[in-house]
Amino acid sequence: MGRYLLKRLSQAVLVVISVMVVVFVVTRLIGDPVAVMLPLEATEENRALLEAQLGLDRPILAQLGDYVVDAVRFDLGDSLWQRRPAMDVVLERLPPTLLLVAAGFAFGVLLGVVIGVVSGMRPGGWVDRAAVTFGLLGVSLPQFWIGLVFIVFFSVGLGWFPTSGSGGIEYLVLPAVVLGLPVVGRIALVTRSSMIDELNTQHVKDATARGVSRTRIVMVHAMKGAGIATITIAGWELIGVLAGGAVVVETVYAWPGIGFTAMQAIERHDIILVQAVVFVVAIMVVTINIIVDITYTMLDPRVKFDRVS
Amino acid sequence: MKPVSPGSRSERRRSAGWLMRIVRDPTALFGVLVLALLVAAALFAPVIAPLDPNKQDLAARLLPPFYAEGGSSEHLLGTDQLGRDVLSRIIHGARISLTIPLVSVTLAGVFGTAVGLLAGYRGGKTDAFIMRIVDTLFSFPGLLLALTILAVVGPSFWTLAIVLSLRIWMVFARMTRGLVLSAREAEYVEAAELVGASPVRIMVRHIAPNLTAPLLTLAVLESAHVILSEAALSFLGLGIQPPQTSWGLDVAIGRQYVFSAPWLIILPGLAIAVAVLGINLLAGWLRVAADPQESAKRYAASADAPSAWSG
Repeated sequence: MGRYLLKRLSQAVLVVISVMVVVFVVTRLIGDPVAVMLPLEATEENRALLEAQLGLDRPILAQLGDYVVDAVRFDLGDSLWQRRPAMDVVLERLPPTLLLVAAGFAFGVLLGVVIGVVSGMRPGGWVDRAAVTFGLLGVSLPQFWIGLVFIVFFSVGLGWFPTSGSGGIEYLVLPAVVLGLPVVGRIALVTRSSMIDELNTQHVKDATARGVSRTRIVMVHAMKGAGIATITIAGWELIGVLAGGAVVVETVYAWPGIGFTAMQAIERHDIILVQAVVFVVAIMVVTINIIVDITYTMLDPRVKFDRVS
Repeated sequence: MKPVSPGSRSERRRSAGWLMRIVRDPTALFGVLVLALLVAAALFAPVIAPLDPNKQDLAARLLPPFYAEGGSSEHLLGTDQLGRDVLSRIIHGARISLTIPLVSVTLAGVFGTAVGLLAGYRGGKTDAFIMRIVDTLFSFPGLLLALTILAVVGPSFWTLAIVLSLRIWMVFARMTRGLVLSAREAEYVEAAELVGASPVRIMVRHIAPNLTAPLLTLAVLESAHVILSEAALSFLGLGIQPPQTSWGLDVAIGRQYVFSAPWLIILPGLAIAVAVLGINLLAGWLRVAADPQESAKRYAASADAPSAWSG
């Protein structure tokens, strides 16, 4: 277990460093960060000053070295827009994102599992058909569009929720639901199909023959097996929600988290702040990956730690 | 996935059978029809569209569509803030929204399949090295990284297509590798190796036929993802840029008129949803149809067998 964890941790560090190297290569070599950051009317002196300030006049390998060393120390430089350490800005905007992601993800997983279990119990029934259709819609409708359509109907039309911003719980409802909808769809489809498989296994049939009640069979026997598939997919979903959905949904609802901050930073050509967001998200993604792997390995006795690489 | 024996003389009869299967399956038929309609719209946009998508008419700004009060038949789906015809913009938008997935999925598919073939066939250290890179890329924060790259490099049709293909080629590599590994174990491949067939011949004659159907299904499924990503990136302002038209871009424009002209949001978004739904239905059906075991189960079943998606 200890060795396995160490191996996974070193892989995780490798992933984060690769992400940062990619960002470095793209921003320094392909793009021209100074040109992106400065206004069009900037003079040559302005350029030289900013280049010196960012250390861009030094050899590229020295820059890369410094950059990685600084990143390991959680120092990504000062945000050009906010004129303070970019990391401070990101950490300040992180709690709203975590709140939104937690709410959306919880909504998505809970509703998805319930729909999946109910429809898996009676494949072909009307609940099942509705669930499959719903799941298909969940993965086919563009998230930013659902967000805006919800604003049109629930905020502008019915006046139930504010159109955007943050504050009380009423601000959280629409973005969390929109963030969670694709999760509902995919979790429901996966839970449903593993539920069907589980209900057909020998040990479930044996339990039925022994006279174990239907509820107990579904809740205890089948859920155990179906749970593994659901947890694995849920981990992927959480990563998708964090690294993709949150940016879009936060932008639609002007929710003051790191996704919205990244978009604001891009608009203001603040590459340094964008890098800091990417860095923090990359760390969260690899952490979730490790947690999912460990949970998965502990739940499924068939998978051994040393065999997973 | 069970390897299928290579080469078949009854190709033609089989393709006729496929057509019948699609027609008999309402969900697949719907998917195919939607796609055909969109492809036709994209190909013949200038002929079909009632007006030039960029023609402004400030006297006819923000006209509602036909179903709303004050709608007219002149602008069936209404007009935007510059008086441009929404229907014409949606028809022309199909061009970008369908070419981007075509280009991205082709790039990603060719590159990913080549990498997967190399890893699967060479095995050993090559395989371990390639798959390590692929696994690492799977843990990248995709959309956020795409946004960063596009912000720095500058959004355009080609940067968008390339960035989107960079996000998905690993899926093809991983699948190809898995298929090659399982095909290599098949007895007919071993037999071919024993009689001294060259690696290239084994690859092309014996292994490649096993890859076609699953990779094609994957390509269809991935184009749905690419359409959604393109729309999201264009919506965020880092995808397609005006004067080109894209459904995602039009939704972004409509966002400022959420109170006065909701159709500017609803209609272009509906086009994205219908396109992705059609592709997903087709992909779900293909997945079942391309798998002989699934297919046997499905077509042996009664008329009210569950749809492709529940398979």
